[in-house]
Amino acid sequence: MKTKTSLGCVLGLMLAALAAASAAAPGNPDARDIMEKNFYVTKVRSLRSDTTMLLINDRGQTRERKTTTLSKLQANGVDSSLVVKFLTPADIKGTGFLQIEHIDGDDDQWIYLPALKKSRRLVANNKKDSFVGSDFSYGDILLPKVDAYRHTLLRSEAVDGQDCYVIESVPKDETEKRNSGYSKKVSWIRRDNFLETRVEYYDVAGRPYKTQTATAHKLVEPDTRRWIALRREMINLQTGHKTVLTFDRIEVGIPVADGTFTTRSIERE
Amino acid sequence: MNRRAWLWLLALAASTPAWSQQTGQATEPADTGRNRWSTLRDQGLGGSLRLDYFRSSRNLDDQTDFIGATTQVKLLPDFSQTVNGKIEARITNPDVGDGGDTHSTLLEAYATARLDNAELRLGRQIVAWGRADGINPTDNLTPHDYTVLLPFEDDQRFGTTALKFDWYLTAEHTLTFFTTPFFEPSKFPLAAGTSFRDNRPARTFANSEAAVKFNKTGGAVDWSVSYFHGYSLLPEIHPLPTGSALELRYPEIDVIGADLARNFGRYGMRAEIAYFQTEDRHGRDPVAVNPYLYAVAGVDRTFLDNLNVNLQLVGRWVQHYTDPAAVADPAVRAAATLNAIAFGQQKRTSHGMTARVSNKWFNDTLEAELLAFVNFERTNSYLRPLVTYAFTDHTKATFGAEFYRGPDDSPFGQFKRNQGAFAEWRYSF
Repeated sequence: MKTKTSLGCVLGLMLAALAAASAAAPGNPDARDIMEKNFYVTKVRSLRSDTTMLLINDRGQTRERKTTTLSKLQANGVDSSLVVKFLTPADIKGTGFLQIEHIDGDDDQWIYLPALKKSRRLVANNKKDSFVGSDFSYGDILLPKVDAYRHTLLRSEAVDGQDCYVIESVPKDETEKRNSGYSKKVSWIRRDNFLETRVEYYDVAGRPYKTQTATAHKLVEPDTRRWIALRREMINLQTGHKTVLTFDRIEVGIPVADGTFTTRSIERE
Repeated sequence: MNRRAWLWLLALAASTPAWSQQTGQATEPADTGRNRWSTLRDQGLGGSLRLDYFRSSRNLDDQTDFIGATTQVKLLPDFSQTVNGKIEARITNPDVGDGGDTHSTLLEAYATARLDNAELRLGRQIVAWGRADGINPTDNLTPHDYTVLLPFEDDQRFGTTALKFDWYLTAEHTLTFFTTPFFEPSKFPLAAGTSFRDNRPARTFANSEAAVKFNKTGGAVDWSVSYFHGYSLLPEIHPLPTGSALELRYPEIDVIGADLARNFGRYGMRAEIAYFQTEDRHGRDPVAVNPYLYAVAGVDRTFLDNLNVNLQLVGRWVQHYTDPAAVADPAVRAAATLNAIAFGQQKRTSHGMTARVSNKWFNDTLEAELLAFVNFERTNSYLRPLVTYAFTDHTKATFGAEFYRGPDDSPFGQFKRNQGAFAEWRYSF
């Protein structure tokens, strides 16, 4: 009996090793490398975009935010600076948002509210905080450092005809888990361009929390192989609320002066 | 004039696409109307229609139950690639039910010329200085209307005709110059039954106000230093020799100020300080306001998802302090006391604290806020709960109340008769 159990353990270990070897075979790169490529694939040198964000509640009632955004990759190739102006709805029209990202620290953020007539420095958001009332959190939009998570390649499978790596990402420590609000993420990453097509999020208690689908992938910087998903939909499975973010117009590689990313840019109504 | 203004605004509101579509008639004139609307929208047309209920007026007149209607319209025309403008006006009748007066206010009307490293703005404009939350010792340039029957602090601001020049020295450093010969004081509650003679400075170039600010925004710390020479937006009250009325005087002031904002992790810290040199530099006039130092410092932090807590300490120190209660002449003593209450000079030093706690729920459709301000000397306080619900992108409802506590001769206690609930329905377009 004891011999049978030991044999079973050994067989089990061999099967697990085979599965791991299969995942790490030449055709299947390391999970961390895949997520690193995913992290960089949307880092466009400069971008001007008009976006529409639809907030749809569980009864189908829709609210709409239209914004225009200007962003530029900083010299370190990781952080971006961006200016966002809200065009609609009427009561927040003219609101401006400036963010200077710092991958190794808290981002610098300012908001300009036309009614206040002055810019106000904001406290850096927790990554789990909602982005302007939507179902996207700040951490969903500005991805955390790759090494803040442990990544495991689960399998490969096709989504909408595209071969994808399926990768599970678990926060490396409790702080990251608490800050992100996630105990686990499962991402479907396209094998050909490393852009995600689907991400499933689990809350800190391990329950299914949100699902994001990213579609209409567009190659925007051919020389650096940078891609953008022109449509992203995030569904909160616990509330039934969803947010659809669509790029209506994009311009890539435009010249942007560094002086653009100052509070005076957001103070122009 | 007022009736015509109302008709114009009603016509404008009726031409909004949302309302036009309700008729279901896509006729050519409607298309023309939509084109006109579209053109106006391209010029930055926006605004709101608001219906308000206030239990009490904000004057010291014991008037109650106001149902008001307000229209506010804003236009942001572009005159060229480097010159644009802004026009914002409000027409309001705070007491429609009882046939109140309709009056209009031009809040702002200016043109802005943008150069490579500078910006020149000329016209009626609101200029708000100071990084503290809600209480800004360095904010002395343009006035407030503390009597307006609208719920939000921003509703109290209106502009002064002035010239402002921003010189962008670097991406982070700006030098600002401001000047106006058109001093305009704040509107504030006055006791009913007392007659006042308003003695504001003549609008001449000799009486021009001027200010300069060196501001740094960016990096880890935002800060500024500023200087203002002009007139106090709030008046001093002086007894007249005849004894039949009181005079409102706006003393000349020189204000040296500074502010800063910096984050420490999840905590945001803000501080602001200003020294006010008043006309009565040596404290010889028992009625006049003495020079004083005014400072605010606080922190804010967001807990959980959206629960923001903002705490600030407020302090004043009066130079050459004299106790207004020690003045022998009753008329002079009464005026000195009123001024000491208005300018926080009842004690040599005084302290207070503000707390603002706010939260948002349901994807920011429901917002609630509790604002409290306590003065520790002669314990008096102000409390304002506020709840806003957005039914749609265009329609919001707000409910709130203002409560004042303290002795009648204290900064908040004097407004006890103005306390009560309020509500607003707002349609934004």
